[in-house]
Amino acid sequence: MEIKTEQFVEIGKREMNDPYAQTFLKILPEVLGVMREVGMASYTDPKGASTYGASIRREAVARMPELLEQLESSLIANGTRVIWARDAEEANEAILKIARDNNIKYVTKGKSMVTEEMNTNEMLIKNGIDVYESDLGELIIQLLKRPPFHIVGPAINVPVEEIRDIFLEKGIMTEPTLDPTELGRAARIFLREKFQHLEMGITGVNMAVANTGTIINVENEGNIRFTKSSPRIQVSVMSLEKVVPNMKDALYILRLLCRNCTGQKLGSYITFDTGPKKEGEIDGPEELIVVIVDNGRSKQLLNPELREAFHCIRCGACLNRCPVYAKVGGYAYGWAYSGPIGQVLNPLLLGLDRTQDLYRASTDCGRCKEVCPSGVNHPRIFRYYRQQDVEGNKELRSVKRPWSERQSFKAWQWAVQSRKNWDRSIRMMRPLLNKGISSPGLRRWVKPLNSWMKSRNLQTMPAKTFHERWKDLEKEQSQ
Amino acid sequence: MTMSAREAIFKQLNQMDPPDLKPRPPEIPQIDLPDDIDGRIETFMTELTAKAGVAHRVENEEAARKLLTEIAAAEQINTILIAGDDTTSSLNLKEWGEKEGVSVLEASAYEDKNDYRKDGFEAADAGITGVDFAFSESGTLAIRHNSKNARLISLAPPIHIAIFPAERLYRYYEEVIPQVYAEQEGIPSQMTFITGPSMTADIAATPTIGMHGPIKLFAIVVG
Repeated sequence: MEIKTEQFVEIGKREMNDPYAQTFLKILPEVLGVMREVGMASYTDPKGASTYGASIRREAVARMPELLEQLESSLIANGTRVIWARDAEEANEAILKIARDNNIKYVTKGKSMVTEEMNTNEMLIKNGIDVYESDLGELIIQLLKRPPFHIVGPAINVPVEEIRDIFLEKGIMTEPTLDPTELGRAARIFLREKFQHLEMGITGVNMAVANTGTIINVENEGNIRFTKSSPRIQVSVMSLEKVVPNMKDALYILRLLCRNCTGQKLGSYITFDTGPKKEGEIDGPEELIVVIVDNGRSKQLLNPELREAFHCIRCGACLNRCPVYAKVGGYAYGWAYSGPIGQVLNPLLLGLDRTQDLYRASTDCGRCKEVCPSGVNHPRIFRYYRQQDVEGNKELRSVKRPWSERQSFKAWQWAVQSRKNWDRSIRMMRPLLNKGISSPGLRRWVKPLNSWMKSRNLQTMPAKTFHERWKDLEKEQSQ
Repeated sequence: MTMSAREAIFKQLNQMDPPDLKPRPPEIPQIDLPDDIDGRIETFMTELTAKAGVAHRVENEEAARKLLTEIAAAEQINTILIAGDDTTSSLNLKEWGEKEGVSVLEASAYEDKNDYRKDGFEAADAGITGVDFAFSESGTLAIRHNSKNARLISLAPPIHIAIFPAERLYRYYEEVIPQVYAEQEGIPSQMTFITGPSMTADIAATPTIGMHGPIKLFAIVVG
């Protein structure tokens, strides 16, 4: 996937002018939000449920070094092979090597955000190994070569006409149809044959249980089950933060994840894998390989300000409540992660320099953090990024703000530091401001205000300040 | 010598400050669900039905076999793939199949995986399995996969029929799952929670029952 985070404004504008996208965005987040609320209402105390969930995530992230080590030894004890990868390239190389060593022609893939991040599909295809995304939405965006529109429903915005056309073009089906169910059936039939003869499957991981070495996947379609049950080799790719202390905590998070994601009490299928198949078992992988990918995380984990970003369980609840997402949709975020969590993760993984508009595109309303079941305070992190970007942070690859902006803030700093300065500047500014408002001069004149002023008007100010009028009144009274 | 990826990652991670572990807040109580057997079964059936599953309660094995005959007729099931767990074994499905004219394939009888996959994907109209546990809170079935209850039986055929005795029905999964994972020896290579047939809403957010996994799910509670 090409990274387009620099084009946030451009793509956002395009999406805002796309009537189909806009109709869709008016309904989808709202509906998903209501579904979530219905799901959460089945808790005796929805707020308390999230608070406890957040405490599990906080603990898991704080104990990560210890838990990952424990996970590794549990996995190995179960007969799982563990591969560590510093970055996407190393992880992809390892996956390619497994495929080559086993003479693999094609793989099916379960929905996995981390492999989106790693561009695994492209790399495998480039090296002659076919990749079939098997989640229906992922299959559609793979064929259309698009980024995910929503963390949970990656192709949920794509018009049925477009799906019909691409399915016909790519030979997924032969008879045209616009019925979503029939389109789904066509994908089912197409992929069944792939699942039946599958030799290697690649999945993501929703959670990895440290003390038992169990990896957990949540889904509705059954494609992940096929990808893990049918082949000889199963490769499951996880980022560092997927580790949880024990099964009880994992079970707790499962309830929260499903309710927050789709409002379901549980997804249709949840699978818990502990090692490869055992003796006498006719199906299941002979070889289970877990690839644990860092890809820039361990460096950022050292920064306590950012640790919360790793609490995320990828439920997508924050997207559905975000007023910015509801306008621009998922493409504008330009990479694997969209919505508020994309504004948290994309800058963290790609750098502040490539994501300048992402962490600034916020109304600071805080609806994201309100619904977050894992205690991520997104707006606080946006503000932290902005601060770091101004003050300079090499680890986060900050860029300094424009000279004119810095100068304006210096002037502001000077003005607000003493009463005398303030009064003096006010006296000086008022006529200028008023003149600026009556002509478009002000915008040109104070450049950093340019885009801010585009959609806002300042009230014309009276000639005298309150204090000046008060003094005048006092004078009048005394006369 | 260059550092291995593992070393490099842990070198970074070990620089994290020691965890400042605040005590967790109190756990919220589970929702109140009926605990008597009838109440558990009723809740289970309601929840599974809400997730597009079909739930039945029968008195005994004989009634279960009778129900299977009805389902086979209604769904035009000619070939079934069966698990060899205790529930399915005690139903004598081979004999039932002969009587009802349904061809019964036993998953445990296959030696070659490709033959097994071929029949599972192409021949079987339905898969019949027992389940280890069921949970009324969400209408969920839990299977511990092993040599007697292989994975694809409940997955590859278009219909999955699950049969289990009522005493395996719990209210919440916490009542039993942590115990399964308490002792390393007892942990299955895979455990699956099944809550309804496969489904998707990936195209135009239209809910569609039956995606890659079974299109229909029947759960039969015996007792």
